[in-house]
Amino acid sequence: MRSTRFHADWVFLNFPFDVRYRDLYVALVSGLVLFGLKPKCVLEVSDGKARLDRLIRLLEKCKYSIHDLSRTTGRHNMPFELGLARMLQHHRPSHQIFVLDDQPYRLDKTCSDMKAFDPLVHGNDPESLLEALENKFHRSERSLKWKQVKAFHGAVKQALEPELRDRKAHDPYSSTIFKSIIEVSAVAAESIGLLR
Amino acid sequence: MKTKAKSNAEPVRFKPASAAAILKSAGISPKVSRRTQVIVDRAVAHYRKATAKPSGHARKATAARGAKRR
Repeated sequence: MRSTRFHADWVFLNFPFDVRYRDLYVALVSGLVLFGLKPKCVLEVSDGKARLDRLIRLLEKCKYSIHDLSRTTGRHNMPFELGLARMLQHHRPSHQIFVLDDQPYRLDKTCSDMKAFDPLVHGNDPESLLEALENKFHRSERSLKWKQVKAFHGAVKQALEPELRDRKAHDPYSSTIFKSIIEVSAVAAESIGLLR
Repeated sequence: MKTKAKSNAEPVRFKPASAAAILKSAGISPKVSRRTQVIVDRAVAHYRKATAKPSGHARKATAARGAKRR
């Protein structure tokens, strides 16, 4: 495996494009932006030839990756991308993998090879997901209080709700909406004073 | 020798990126459109409302209710 330059604040997101996952998706993207990290996702990779190669290149450029295995029934993209990330970590141990699930101990049965990864359990609740991430990602400066994280998530969710409601079921998982969540979260966090 | 691969168990510490750097990395123009600004203003208003300290009157009313219960 060739060595690729990676970015210390890029986070590769691997989550299901599921209608019921929408609130968790907004929490995940806006939360990472609030922490001062740069979310990256397959939604930014255009369709067409060599898509998988482009996805691997994007993953290689990220220092962290977050994989949600809560909706793996019938879909194999999430465990597949987790496998890619684990291989990347084998060659570059500084790559850090965070596994999410909605139930505790399920990973022991569904993917016992990843037992040591001790998933962060969100129980399909956006606030639990944010709390789990907040316990893992610590800013070295301008630390955040849980009250601020919770209020920011509620504010972004409420502000984006009319936008998300206007779209059809699967549309939240478009590159446009992904970028829109990043933009609104970054500009709002800066206006409030939670980001530089 | 390779170092031990890191897993979920270890929290990470990092320097937060600025809002401008996050926008640039996502390929978003730093110039905010009017449509986006409306959403941002809505978000900021919701945040301020959620984190506002209760007024003196509200604090006194809550304390009075607590005292009555006791």
